Amino acid sequence: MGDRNTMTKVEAVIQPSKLDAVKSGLLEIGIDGMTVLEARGHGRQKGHTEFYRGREYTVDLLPKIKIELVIVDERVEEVVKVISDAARTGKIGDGKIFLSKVEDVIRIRNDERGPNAL
Amino acid sequence: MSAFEQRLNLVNAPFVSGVAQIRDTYDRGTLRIREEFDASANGVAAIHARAALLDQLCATLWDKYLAKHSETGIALVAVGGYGRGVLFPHSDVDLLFLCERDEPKRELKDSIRGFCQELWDARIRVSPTTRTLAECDTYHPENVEFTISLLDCRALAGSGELFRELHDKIIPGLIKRESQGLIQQLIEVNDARRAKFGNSIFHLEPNLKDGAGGLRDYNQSCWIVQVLNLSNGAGWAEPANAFPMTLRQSAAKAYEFLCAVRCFLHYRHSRDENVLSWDAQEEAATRQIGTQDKQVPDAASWMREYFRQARTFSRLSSHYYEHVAASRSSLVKQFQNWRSRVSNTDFTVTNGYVYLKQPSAIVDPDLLMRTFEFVAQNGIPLAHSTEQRIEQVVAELAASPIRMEWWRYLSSVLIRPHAAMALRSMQQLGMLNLIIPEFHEIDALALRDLYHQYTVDEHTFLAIDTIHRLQEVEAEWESRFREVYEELEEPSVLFLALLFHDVGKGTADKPHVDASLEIALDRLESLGLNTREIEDVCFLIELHLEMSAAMRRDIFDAAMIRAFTKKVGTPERLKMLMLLTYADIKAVNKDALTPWKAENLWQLYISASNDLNRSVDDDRFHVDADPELLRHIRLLAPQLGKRLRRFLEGMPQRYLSLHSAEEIVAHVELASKVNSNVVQVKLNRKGSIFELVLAANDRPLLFANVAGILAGWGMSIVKGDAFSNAAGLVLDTFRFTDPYRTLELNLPEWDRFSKSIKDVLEGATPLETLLRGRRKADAKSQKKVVPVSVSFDDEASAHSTLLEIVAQDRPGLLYLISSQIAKLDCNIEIALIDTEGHTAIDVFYLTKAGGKLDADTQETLRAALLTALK
Repeated sequence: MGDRNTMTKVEAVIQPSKLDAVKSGLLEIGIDGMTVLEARGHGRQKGHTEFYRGREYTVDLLPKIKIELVIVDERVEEVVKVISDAARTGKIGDGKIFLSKVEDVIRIRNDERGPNAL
Repeated sequence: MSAFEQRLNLVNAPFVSGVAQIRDTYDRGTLRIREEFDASANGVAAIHARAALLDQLCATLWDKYLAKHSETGIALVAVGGYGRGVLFPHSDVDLLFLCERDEPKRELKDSIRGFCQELWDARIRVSPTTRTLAECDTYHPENVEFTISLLDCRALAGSGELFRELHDKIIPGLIKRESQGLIQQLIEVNDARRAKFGNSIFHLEPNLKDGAGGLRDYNQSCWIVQVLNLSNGAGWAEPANAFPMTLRQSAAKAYEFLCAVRCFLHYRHSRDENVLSWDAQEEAATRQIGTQDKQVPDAASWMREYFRQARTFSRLSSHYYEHVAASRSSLVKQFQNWRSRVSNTDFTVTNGYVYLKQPSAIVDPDLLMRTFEFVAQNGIPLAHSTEQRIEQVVAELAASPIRMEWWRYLSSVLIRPHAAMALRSMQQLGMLNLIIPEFHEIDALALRDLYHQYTVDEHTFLAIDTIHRLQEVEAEWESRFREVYEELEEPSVLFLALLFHDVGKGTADKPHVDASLEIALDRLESLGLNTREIEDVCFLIELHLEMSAAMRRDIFDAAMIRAFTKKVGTPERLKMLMLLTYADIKAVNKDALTPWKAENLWQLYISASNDLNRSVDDDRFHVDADPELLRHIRLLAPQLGKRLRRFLEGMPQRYLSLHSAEEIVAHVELASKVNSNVVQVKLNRKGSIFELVLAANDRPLLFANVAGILAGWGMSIVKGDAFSNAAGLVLDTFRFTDPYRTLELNLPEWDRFSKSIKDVLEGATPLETLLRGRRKADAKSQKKVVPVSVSFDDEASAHSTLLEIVAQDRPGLLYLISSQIAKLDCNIEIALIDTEGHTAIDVFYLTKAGGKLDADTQETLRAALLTALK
């Protein structure tokens, strides 16, 4: 129980084209477990309008990829750096990383808890 | 008796009747069966051995608890799987305590309870039922399982007379009386079971008991044999011996395989587990479960064996489904009777299956292929007797060379709505392998990753079906793909590419795209396709992963889109590649094409489509930069000499993408005859479409006049393009239909038509004369209204202003537009004319006085066009 509250959830919203680079970067530092979600959204990078056959297609929500992983606190800065470096193009729309504390983790298979269950 | 069974008999000493001893003897017997299975992987022997072990145990318990009640008329009967004499390691044991009459008295009930309790104490999952003869004779539609379980009854102990009464009189009588309802129920239960597993044998982790192609399909077939036999008064059958000859051997092999695998799963999980999980597949492959003398190198190859066996059971089940088709509900019958209307001189459709009117005539290879064409058109499966005849003929044909006509039929099968059903049938009966021998290499080939649900052959059929099923899609995001499909000029090119796109996956020594391409090239030459079509099929195969790869990059990045469209070349190829990508992803697994991915694919498509239309002017061919093309065409036509270089220099790359080398040679020949005022025209016909190729030196109003002449003759332009080279030579191509059949019905009119074009363009006849009569005839109202859209783009080209017009298509539309352009002294550098249904989509690259159009000219032209197109 003493190990609880020492974990952080990392949620990174990135460009779909950067997924492979981010995955490889994380793998290189020994992180191979993550959840990848197909997402749509926009922040400052607004959508744009494309015309096709006289019809207007407005893309106001842009395709994004959301990666979620939970890690022990000691690795947070290292993971954030890997994600940032791999996902950065320098343009608007590169995405964001959100960090939040995780109360506990339970492995369903054997009820293991805390960082050992990661 | 096998060596396995002999050894088991030696260890199965009689049970001693004490509780602990019974349990101990049973455990030792069970352990020995497992050891034998571990050593031999013989599943059939293991399940028989466990049933025999249980027989001995039941006999011991009978003596202990029930022998004393023998005067009351009772018998112990094994039913269900146990009745068949087969018990998987952790399957339930179904027992029937059969009483002659009345409910058993309390004392007897207690004895039955004691009997069952000891089985439970030995950790045997027993499912006991106590019934009187009269109860067994009653059919309960809501509890059909009990009646079905009686189809596998076997005497264990007690009154032989009572069992014979049940076996020889009660059950045959019941089945004879209730066969219709029972079969109906069997089918409904079966349909529900298969539907639960998506009616597909292809799952990443299949259930080999209840899933399609599982052991239940085999059991179901046995039950139907039994019901049919008993209801016909033919007595009890040995079902496996009654299977059709063509399936008997393969069904026996599949049974051995699946029994071994199911035993393996039960032992592995120590429970009645029937899902062949990912890990279990690895282990089964390592242990060579079910493979007998055939060694498989890895889990993927082992799964290939599994899918082949599952396909046999699925086929067996379909055969009996057909057999009992006549017993189905009246609604189904009504539907099938309606389908019988498609019967023709060659085929009869009865009870929803295709029969040959003259079975002996199937030796005619044309009729053979027409049979598959019929299936592809109507979506009706072949009757088993038809399949049997075809299998015989295919075996005989295997020795003779491939016939060219088969390719023509294969093409015809592919474009029909139920092509996938016909292809599966062709594959199953050996015909597909005969035409494309490499297909054998992908037969049931499992890729075995967590993404690819289907085997390579099934994926191919599903991808083809995905395109055909576009006609039925309702979701808005999918209907866009249907619209693009409906615009395709040659859908057969797309289907051929889909048929071949993964065929190279069966080739181990090179990347699958290269292998598929090689195989396709080899085979397509037999198909009688023209060079352009072969190039298109090969292009699609070669680039079939390109859009998926592009979607992993930034689909809004202009440079990426440009690089992608450069590889694609033409809008038609882009459409086909996009549809191939859509089908390829969707046929990987049922969730692979998420709306997210589909939207990205669509965005990539429209960005690329727009880019293709906007980049034509700047992307021109220069001989010195790419001498390879020149060399290639010179090899085909060395007589062209320097004329070829002069013709190609400065032509838009789009021109080269749109035309094959042979067409370019013909164009150069045509262009060679052009001099100052003389124009050259060539008229061709392909099906219902006419093609006019025109070569001329550039001059004012050229494009508008050609459009006007076609309108004057009442022709409806569906596609067109106009290109010019560095020397100012214009090469226009117009594709049009002939709604009044002027050219179609009157061959002499071809010459008059060509002459009228030359006369107008060379100034001998005024265009107005030609147009005067036509305007009145065409003043019809249009049903569908397409809003007019006129847009200019100054950024797309370095030299021209791009004008895009979308409007309702109508006769003379192109003339109307091009004459407005000419009135403002604008020059058409390039024109790309397209028609989709009722919508005309025309793109022009315009210049005025050698430069882009200024803002005033753009506004004046916009206003003029909007007024003219109102």
